[in-house]
Amino acid sequence: MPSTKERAAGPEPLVSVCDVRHSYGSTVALRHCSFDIMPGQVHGLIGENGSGKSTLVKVLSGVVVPSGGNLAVAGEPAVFHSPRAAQDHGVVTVFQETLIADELSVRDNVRLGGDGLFRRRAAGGGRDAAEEAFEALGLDPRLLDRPARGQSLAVRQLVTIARALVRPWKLLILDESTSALDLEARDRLFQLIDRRRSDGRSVLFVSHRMEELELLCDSATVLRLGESVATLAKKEATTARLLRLMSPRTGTAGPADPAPGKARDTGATTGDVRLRCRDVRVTARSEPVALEVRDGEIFGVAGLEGHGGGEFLRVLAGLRDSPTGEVSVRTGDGWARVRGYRRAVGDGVVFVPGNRQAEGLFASLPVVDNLVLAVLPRIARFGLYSRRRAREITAEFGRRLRVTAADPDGPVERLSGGNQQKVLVGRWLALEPKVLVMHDPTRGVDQNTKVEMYALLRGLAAEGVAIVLLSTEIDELVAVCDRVAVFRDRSVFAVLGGDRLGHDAVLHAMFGQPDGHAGRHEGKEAAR
Amino acid sequence: MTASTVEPAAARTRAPARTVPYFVPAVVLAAGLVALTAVVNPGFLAQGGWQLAAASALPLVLLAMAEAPVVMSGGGGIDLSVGPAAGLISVLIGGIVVPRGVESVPLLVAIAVGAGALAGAVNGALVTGLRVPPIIATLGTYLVYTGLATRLMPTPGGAVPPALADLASGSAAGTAGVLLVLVLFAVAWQAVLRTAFARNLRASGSNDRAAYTAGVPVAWTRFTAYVIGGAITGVAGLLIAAVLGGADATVGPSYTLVAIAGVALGGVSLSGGRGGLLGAAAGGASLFLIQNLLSFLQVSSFVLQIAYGVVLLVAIVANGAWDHRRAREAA
Repeated sequence: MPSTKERAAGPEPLVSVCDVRHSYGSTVALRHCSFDIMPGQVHGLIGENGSGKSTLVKVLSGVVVPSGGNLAVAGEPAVFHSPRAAQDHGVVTVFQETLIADELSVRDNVRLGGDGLFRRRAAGGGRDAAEEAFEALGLDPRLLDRPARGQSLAVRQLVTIARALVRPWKLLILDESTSALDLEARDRLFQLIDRRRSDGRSVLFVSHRMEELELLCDSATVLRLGESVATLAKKEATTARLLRLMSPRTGTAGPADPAPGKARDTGATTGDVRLRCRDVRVTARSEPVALEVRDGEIFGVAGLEGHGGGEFLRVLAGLRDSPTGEVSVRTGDGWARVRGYRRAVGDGVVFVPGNRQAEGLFASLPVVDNLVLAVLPRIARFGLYSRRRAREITAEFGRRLRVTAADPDGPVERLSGGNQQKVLVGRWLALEPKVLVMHDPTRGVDQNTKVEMYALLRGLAAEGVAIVLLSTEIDELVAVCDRVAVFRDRSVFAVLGGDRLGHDAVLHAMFGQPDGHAGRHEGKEAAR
Repeated sequence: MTASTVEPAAARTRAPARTVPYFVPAVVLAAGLVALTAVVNPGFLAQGGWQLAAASALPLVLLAMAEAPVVMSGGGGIDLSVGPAAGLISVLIGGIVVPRGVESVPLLVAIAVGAGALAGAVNGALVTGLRVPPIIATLGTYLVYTGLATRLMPTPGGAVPPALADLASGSAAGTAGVLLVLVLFAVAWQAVLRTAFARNLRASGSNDRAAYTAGVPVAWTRFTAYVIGGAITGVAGLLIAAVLGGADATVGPSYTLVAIAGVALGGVSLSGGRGGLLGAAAGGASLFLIQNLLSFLQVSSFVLQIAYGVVLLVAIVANGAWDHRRAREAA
């Protein structure tokens, strides 16, 4: 019973998110997030990378307990300490990852989690519920008795959806859960959702596909930098408006003044081609990519997380195989195929990984050892290397990169995030690479370091290094890069350069809008 | 329209070749070893031979079974303390409870199972509650139980009631008892398999993130796996006392590594998810039969150690190769 007069007009929301905040350590993922999901509605949730969507989904599904704020289910305050607790409140989530237990049968995967420790709690008649869900999703019920191992990605994703559907759900959260489905399977799911919501059940639909959001949602909430900036009804939620709301930049300056970046456009194309990829695919089902990167060019890679940009980078650096085609690099004596990281490094291609902690630095080792790691084979004689030479190198790159380290023999973990990143970059610069492939080098570093990093990249480009830069910040790409390839669905959606390279054009391409810049209809440029 | 969606999905799946159940290699190996023993050692088939062997194999077989649920629960699950825990329980029974006049077999069984479950609960609480890595947590309890057993009974001795001693005598009644123990376990495990626990256990071992997000109580499932393992360890302890006709604090620890070798040999995936008690029992029995065969052939006990080590390594490599192959097929 809505007793308050303000609320009395409308029905009570099924789930309310009230000022939810969450931080992971010092990183704030959600700062202020409030919206209501009304019964019987499909509610869209949209935002760029890092806008807090996935954290919000984790909060709603009980994977993460928020640091502040609260949730209410049908007006009652609720705290979800575990996915189990969320499900007991009728909130059931299909996650982006296809979470399947391979050792179990498909049927057991559908039933997974519905039981007690020992007691079976078959939802709505057990066997039949799973079969019904399979039929509704267009899957052969005979699949239920097969092992989950070896099923195709599409089937696995449908199994996780069926797992949610057999629960007594009131709110179904679909977090990018349609990415592996073909159109027909997707439409079946949408029809199913449409039927179920007539009995007051709701869906929270997280998707990067504007056309799906438009097709399905009654209302949508836009997240930007961890805040819910607007909740729009269907009529107001036009694609253009949603994209505008998502974009974090409203008149404020980008991460660096774009002028020098722009000024470089003309000079970049003068260098010779350094890195060439032909018919490269991120996965077997991706569209082929053909690209050339020239000496002195800064080539950007954009795209929402999980859309293949990161994998493409690893293909370029020889860390991942492309099912077809090849990547080659120009070396002193002709073109060399990039295959396997060791050889790539020998041919002048280096990769600076994005995850400093897991793939980059050895936290407890001294700064010196972290920095000279890659160059060791070159400075070693008969397997021994001079500690003095290592210190000299460290001092040299410390100066060049302006690393502030009190003690080069102290563990690298004592440095600030920005300085750690510089050490990691220095490790690979010490090899004097011809091609520098960088995965989001400015993530989690302070503003000053960012500015220094941009200056460094421009300096390297001026020296003739070809740079491939993946960034999750669109403004950064626009400011620093000569051209930007935007990935979508693990393929290149557009390559933007010159006048066409702008924040909105990149954002629109990330969300699959072919028009690029508003008012500027140059059509979709296929990857060359 | 309906058919068009069903077909591609089904076509992409292909009917997978009937996969061999995980326990088949171990059961075949155990059966082969029984046959080999029968050929090499005619006394094995003679009256009393195999019955005696079965009784003395039982503690090892049970300890391999005790290891199985823990390993299956995943998350690096392993219980190094099974040997010392069984040893401690045999000391408790043969050295303390029986000499004080408790001779009722049902009561002794209850004490042994209860003490074992308690030991398992300690391990489970350390692993799931305090998040101590299983190998460290159970190494700690390994040392504690070893020390405790020696403290309680510095020299071998004690006694067991005749009914228990009979189990290990090779007599008809004893053999019936041994078979009864096995049948009871088979029935109890079948009962467990019919509950949701079996699915929770395999799901937690196979993909704990999937299990957790789907709502499986992963921590409680793992805790329960340790308790079940502990209860089986308790029975093993009782049988060690029966075989020894008393208690010896020093015999327990040596069982641990053989029990782990047994589960590995039994086809239980050391990374969790795949396995069961039957495979573990067959693995444990195989190791016992190897030991039995080698000592009949009067091979030195040092060689026996080497044989165990080689069998363990081969089992683990084959086990890992199996996992790897299945993972590749899945890709």
